[in-house]
Amino acid sequence: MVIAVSELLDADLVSRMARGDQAALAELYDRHAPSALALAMRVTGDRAEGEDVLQTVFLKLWNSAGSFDATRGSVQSWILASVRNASIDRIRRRQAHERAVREAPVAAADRGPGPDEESAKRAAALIGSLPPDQREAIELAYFQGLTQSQIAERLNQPLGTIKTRLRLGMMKLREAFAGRAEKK
Amino acid sequence: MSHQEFDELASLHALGALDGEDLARFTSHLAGCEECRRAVAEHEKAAEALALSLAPVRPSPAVKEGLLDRVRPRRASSPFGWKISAAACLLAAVALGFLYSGARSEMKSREIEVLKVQEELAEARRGTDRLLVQIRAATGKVDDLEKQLASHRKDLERLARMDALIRDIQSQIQPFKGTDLAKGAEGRIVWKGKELYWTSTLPPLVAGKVYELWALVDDKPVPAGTYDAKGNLIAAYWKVPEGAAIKGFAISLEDKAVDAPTQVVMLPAQ
Repeated sequence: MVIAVSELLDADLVSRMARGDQAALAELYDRHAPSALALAMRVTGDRAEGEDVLQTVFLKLWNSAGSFDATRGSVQSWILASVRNASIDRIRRRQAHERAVREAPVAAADRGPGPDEESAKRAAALIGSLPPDQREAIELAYFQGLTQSQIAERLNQPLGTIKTRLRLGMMKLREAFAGRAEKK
Repeated sequence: MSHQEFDELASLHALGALDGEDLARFTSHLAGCEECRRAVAEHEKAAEALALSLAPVRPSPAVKEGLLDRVRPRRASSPFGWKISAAACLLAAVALGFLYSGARSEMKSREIEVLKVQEELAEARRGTDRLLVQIRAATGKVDDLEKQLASHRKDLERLARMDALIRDIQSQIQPFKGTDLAKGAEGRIVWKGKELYWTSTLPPLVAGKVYELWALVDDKPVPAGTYDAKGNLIAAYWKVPEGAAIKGFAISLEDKAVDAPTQVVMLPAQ
């Protein structure tokens, strides 16, 4: 499987990093930094802070490469989850969630290659296919780190409604993702 | 809570959206439920679509450079590393001190130099001023000397003419004798045509007065110019007709050149 091979390659790079191979880190960085930075900027709403998060996450990956367990998830998942968590920590610390509401402007010239352009397009189509209220609730949780109660308060909706929107939206994503994976 | 309910919470947990009692119950359940852990993992993977749907952003080159710089192996430190570092710091501090001190010393030296140059400039200006005063004084002296020289030349020319006049065999000489207005005064005149020279012991002129010389033509006084007591011409006032025979000269004291004498002070001596 193409995805599996790709992940293996990433995992192999991490193994090399565990042995102090800086070139492996550089390669892994080139592969995933653009999408990781997009996520960091989307969450923090700030390019400089996003780049700081990016460097912190890759440095953490370098330092913990020896303990990385490929069976628990892909390298890409680890990077994105780490970037998301670190970015949410940042905005929680500075208590400036409002800034994260704004989507960080991305100039065309700044756009860099993602790990897989087709995957990005499919992901965008997938997110776009969700009903707006479900997508909104999911994005508030994912990009702003809001909990179900906070989302309910933000959207002025009953907690049960928000739970339902989150659950239904995530179910659709999971199904779509599983279906896509099976096709591959 | 049924397992179905936990399964539903797995999607929210994957988003990190659980809180309160839901979070506490689910995390407690998750520890012992492989199925729910797998469900959470699948939801987490599905949630990545949110991240991957974003347009990738190329990071600044400095981020990668900074990252690689931070993971670059450092040189192993020796047991004396801290001492070397401390010594290096000390040397750097001393060097900095010297540099600072040097810079201050250099600055002080430059300040002194500037003050010296300013003093030299002021002295040069004072010198220039002195020279200008001297030049002005010298220029005044030169002017005076030039005037004196011109006067001496004039005298010399006059003396030369007088000498020529005296030596000329055709020149005539006439002594003067003071009238009652200038008792005891004497004088003498040498002349040849309009060329003449005379001197006397007449008293010096007072302001506003002139001695007027009169040519005696046909026993009548004719104006021949105004002079001082020593016979120096003050103003030409020669009214003697061309070719007229001059028998002698007389002198009067006047306020200015006139055509008829008022106070005759000198007459030809017999």
